[in-house]
Amino acid sequence: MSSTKLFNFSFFKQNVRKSRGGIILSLILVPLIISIYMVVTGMNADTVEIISDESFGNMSLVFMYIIPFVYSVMLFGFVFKKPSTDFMNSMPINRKTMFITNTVGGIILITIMHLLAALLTLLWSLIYTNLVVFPMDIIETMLMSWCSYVFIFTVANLAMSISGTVMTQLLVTILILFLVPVCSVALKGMKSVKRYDNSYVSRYEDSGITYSSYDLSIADGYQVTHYNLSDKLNTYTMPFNYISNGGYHFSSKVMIKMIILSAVYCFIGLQLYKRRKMEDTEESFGNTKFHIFIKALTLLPVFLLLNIADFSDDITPFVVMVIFCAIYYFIFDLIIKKKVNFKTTVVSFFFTVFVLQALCGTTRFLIREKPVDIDYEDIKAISVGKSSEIGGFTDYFYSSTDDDNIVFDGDYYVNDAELLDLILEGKAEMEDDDRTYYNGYKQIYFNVKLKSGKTYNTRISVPQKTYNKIVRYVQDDEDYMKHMRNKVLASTGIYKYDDQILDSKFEKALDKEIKNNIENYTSTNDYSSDYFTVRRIAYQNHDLIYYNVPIDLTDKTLEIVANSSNEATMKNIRGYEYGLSATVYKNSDEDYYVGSVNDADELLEFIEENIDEEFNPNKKYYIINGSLSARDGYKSFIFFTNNVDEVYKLTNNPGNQYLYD
Amino acid sequence: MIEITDLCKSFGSHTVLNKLNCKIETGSIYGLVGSNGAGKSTLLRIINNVFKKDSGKVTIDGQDVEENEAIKQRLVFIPDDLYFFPNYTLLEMANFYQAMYKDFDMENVKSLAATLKLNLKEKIKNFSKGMKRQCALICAISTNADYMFFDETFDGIDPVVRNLLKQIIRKQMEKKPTTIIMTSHNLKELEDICDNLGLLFKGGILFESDINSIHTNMVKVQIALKEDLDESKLDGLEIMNIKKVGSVSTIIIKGDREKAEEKLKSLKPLVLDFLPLTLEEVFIYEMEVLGYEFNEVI
Repeated sequence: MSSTKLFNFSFFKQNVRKSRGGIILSLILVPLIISIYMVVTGMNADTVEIISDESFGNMSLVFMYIIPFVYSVMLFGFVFKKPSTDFMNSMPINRKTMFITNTVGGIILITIMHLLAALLTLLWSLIYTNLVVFPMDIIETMLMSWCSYVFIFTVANLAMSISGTVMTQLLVTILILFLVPVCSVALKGMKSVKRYDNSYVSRYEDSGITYSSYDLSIADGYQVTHYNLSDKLNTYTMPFNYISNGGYHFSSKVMIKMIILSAVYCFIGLQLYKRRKMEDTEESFGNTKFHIFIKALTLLPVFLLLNIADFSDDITPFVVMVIFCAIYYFIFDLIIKKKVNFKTTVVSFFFTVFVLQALCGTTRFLIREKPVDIDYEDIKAISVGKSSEIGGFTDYFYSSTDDDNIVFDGDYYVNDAELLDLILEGKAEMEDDDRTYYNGYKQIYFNVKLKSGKTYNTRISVPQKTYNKIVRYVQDDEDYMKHMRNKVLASTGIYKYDDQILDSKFEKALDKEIKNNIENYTSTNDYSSDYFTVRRIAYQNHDLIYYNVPIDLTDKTLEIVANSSNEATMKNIRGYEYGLSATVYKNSDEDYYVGSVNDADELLEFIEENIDEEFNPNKKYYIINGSLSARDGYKSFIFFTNNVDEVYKLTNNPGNQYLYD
Repeated sequence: MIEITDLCKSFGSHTVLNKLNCKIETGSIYGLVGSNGAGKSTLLRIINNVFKKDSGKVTIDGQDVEENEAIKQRLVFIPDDLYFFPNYTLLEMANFYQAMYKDFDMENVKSLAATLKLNLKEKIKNFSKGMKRQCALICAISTNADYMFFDETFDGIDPVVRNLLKQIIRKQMEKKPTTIIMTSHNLKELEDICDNLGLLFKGGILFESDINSIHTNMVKVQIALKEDLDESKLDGLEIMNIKKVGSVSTIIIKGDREKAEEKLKSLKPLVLDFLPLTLEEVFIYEMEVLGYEFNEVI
């Protein structure tokens, strides 16, 4: 078959032409909104905005729920009205060509939209220097977004092939996109052990007598999925992941899955479209039985989710939910069919409820798992740190785990009984003594690989001193540190200190410091990290990775950061007009606040006088962090100085005891 | 030639076409009549690939029409319920047809629009119902398709324009051999333009004939004799209907006029008049013979 028979350009051109207003609007507005959103974010914050999946991908993907569906309706909408169905189908183009032309055409429109968004973003980043773009990040994010759009577009086209109205098409699209993932998540929930059941790693002596056992469950138990320790990175398609994961995350598995599913849905959609009964136009579905079946299908996830919970003590929530479902059953017909047959609806509702509850109840009974008991001897290897296999839950301890990632790699497994004991004993100690909460503790990701091949992961709390021991332990492991050096420095990165990107001339020097001194890394104070941490940002493994490096990792590191920052400060305070405010800090684990600056003019004079002073990292130093309004906008700055006595006089805090520390 | 064999189509439990068989010769105008719901529009939609048939076969010049793009290039269909793209002008609609039909004649559109006094650049949505149908017919005729299907062709068009359109259709047939299939539930609409007529009833062609033989094969006679008419004396004639009012009888005879005239003259009538038969009358008497009430089928 020739290609002209598969794609009819004239038809596509004319079909697009009739909806040109909407299409042109979407092609201009969506890329503009995506890119302007980031510019506005960057400008408002007056900080360096790293354009990443957090802003670009999320903004782009917000539209994925609307644009592909709207395109599908624009291109195939004629099938929902009798006169247009007659008109279009009588044209000299067969259904196969029509379907392929519109599908390929829609994908071309989606591609144009993404190219425009990517180009505009790169353009903005050239115009606004405070926007930092990792081109590969943009490319991959766009690719992922493109796949998501195409996936939803093909789903909408498939839904169109069996629907008689736009509302029905929307319903079927939602069902195809969400039914399987929601049911899968619900089944996982039903499968999981009860919330307060415990899983153990037990240690046996040769005789088989339990030597010690460690409770692996999390005391405050906020994640059911942690109990059975099988929360692998999910590979549901992006429309579901975007909602369930709270945003965009790149995954090549998800991308490939969407591409394959798009091809499959295209094929099925084409076959159904070729067989479509055009006389069913303006009806919800071809026949009543199918309408009832689809309606019942929409209740399946509801009943699966209901069956995760245990209603044996109080059945009221279950009954309330069933009443809601009954109301929904009538509303469904009103929206989809615009009429309600009372008798049919009531009978079909009770039948559906009975069948679904029986099905879900039986499934729950059959698949329920028991708590996991892991034999100490069955453990093949362990790892500390967030594994790339984990996904789908919110990281409540983001900053502390950020600190970890320069020391730990969750994907690097070691067979080390001593490390395992250290972790589990720390965990046990944490639970035995409430005071550890007040004395400081850390959260770590802990992954266990069994000889059977199964991998479990959890997140546990350990006292700060135990955490320090664990850090020291891995830092003493040469192989581990070699691996971390390679991992951290695998890609070219930029360094960001506070709101400033360090000049590229410092990058190599700082990389060298990390390479030579990674084993000297110590966890930084969380809430003061903005001033005492420099961040290495790299695009690695499809994600922006932030490595927190203490500015005093080495004297050289401190010197580089100080010189770079002072250099930028001079630029930023030029053109000062009004509104200067500044705070003085010192590098101390206990108390880092010195005071705020009283007089703007005095401070400016001090900076100008001291700018050429050689910064000595071995001497006592203060950090002046400030902001001001200059002729060319709002500026912030950080100034390092060894002239601490003079700075102290500028603050509103004379007599502060820490001055004499 | 369009050849339809054992064509069946049902909508749910309702059978619309039931083993329909029909042959439509090339180069003729075929009128398809039938009451509402007889299946006229469904038949046209199946031939034009809008609907899928349940069973049977539809061929045009020996080729199956289903999903046959080459054949579809030779067909054009104007449905009863017209559709135009929103906010399109006649010129823009013509552009769409031009993109779809290889032999589309844009000059013809301009010329016909001028004849029918239609503004090419006026939005079609502002036109009256009859003007919209004229727009559709202009576009369809300008495709130069070999087979044109017009459903409820002259619906909403005033008599003057209707005659004008009939002339345009005939002119198109002179320009290029074209087969036109028209449907209507009004026999009078088709009487003066069709070459052949088919009556669709209960999913099948109940009666089919060419217009000329319909008129020549049936005669209507008014006769008055000295005595009462003795029907036995009419043996040898195919009498379809006799009505007596006083001494005057009106007889519908199927067959050759000369033979009937000879036979009736032999009865030495006081009055013998041969009257013209309308198409509607022909259909009424044909239906009666077949055992149907005319009002039931049309």
